[in-house]
Amino acid sequence: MDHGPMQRLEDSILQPLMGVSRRYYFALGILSIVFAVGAVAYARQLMFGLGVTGMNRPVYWGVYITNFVFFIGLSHAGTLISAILRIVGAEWRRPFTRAAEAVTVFSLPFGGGSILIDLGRLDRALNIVAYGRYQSPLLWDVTAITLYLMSSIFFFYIAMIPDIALCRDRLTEVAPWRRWLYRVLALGWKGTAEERRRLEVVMGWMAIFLTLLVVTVHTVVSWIFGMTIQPGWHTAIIGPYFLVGAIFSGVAAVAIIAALLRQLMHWEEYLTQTHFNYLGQFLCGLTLVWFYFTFAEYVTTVYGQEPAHMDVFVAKLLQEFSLPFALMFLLCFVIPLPILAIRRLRTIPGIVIAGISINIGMWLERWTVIIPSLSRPRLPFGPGTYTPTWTEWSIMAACFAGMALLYLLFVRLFPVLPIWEIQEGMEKQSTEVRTQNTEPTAQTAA
Amino acid sequence: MIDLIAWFTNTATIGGMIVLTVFTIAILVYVLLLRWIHAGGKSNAGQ
Repeated sequence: MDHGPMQRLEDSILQPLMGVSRRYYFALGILSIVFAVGAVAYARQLMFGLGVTGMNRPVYWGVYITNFVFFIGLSHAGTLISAILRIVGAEWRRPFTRAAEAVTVFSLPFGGGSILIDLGRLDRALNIVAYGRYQSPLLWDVTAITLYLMSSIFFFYIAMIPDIALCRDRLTEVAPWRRWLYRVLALGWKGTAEERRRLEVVMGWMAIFLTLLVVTVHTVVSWIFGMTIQPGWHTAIIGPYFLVGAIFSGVAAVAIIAALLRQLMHWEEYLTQTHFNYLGQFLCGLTLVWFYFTFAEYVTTVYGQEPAHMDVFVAKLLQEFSLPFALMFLLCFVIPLPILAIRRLRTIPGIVIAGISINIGMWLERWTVIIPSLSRPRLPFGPGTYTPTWTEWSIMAACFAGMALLYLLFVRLFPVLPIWEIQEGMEKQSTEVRTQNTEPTAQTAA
Repeated sequence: MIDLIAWFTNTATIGGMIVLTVFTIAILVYVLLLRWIHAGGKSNAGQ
């Protein structure tokens, strides 16, 4: 085995851990400012109560719950790309796995955190343990999301152990606290065959467990809405519809991040056009599945003509929610589909445009699921209205900035491409080539 | 102490108990799995 490419791979991926450019600090500074503004807005909300938001009766959920569903959806990227593609043995997943798992781990705290922000008084979060009633889907959610966060962190961490050990052995000139961090997190990894075998066994089982958990988590998230009899929410399709939307936005987010990493770190050799082509095809399939669910959902509503459901549908199609609803359809389907379906357009910039479009569209989808149903309740209320305040927008911006900040800090401290997994793929490929070369020789000899 | 006993015996708060039990089991399992992976290095070194 030629060790040249392996060495080059290690050098190239470890390079950003040794020093960063001014651009990095500039990005860090901007994100910190956005985060600080959001923190101030949140402090103000804590002081004056939820009255500083635009939430009211009957629209008692707004930007925060939209963010909650969106971030939880985004978090499915890691599991899908890393766990499911590992189970089905898709080789092209290798360079994307860690970037995807990081999306999971860094978006989940902001998903769960959005609930706490929406709660108003933080001390009431403890009521979940003190007075939790399992009849409520809210408690199913708490269990599923927290277990998912713990399991994702565990999966993310164990998949990094061999690379952390590499950092421990190779990055001997970094700050002492970082050397200490690598030494502790490497867990005494020696890279023996038995260690590798055990790691693979645990990762295999965790991949299956996380796949089951991802289905559970987003189905349960959808049941917060679906288990009420609110028009527009009370539908059996809401579980799988939410799940598909979650996977859709998650994979789109990974495509954007992977393209950014490729561009900024010059990793063209490891994140190739072929990898992006597979990712684009996958995203194209998800676009069609999303459209199928959206169509099935709305055609059933229209065919039934049930008045309460039709009120919500008309509000989305023709009244005050028509702009976000139309934009959602445009951004989730009309724009990305041709880009992803036509080979000539499925370039890396094309996939990034489709990814951005899908993520904005999916946020709007969450918005058009939550707000219109609340504004047309089955109560003698009359139509409700909701306009978010600067507090809500600032906190939302802070959540996105916070996620990006965590990602930037991670990129600075740990290898964002899974070195050992890519090396494993290269070894596998070279073994296959060797086998192919020896087979004709053996046949000739026979 | 009385509050704690009351909490344990109150079936209406079973949700909280379930949540805590699930988390405790998950943490325990993950710690044991980490120990098992770590032990793999030692067992191979002895061969």
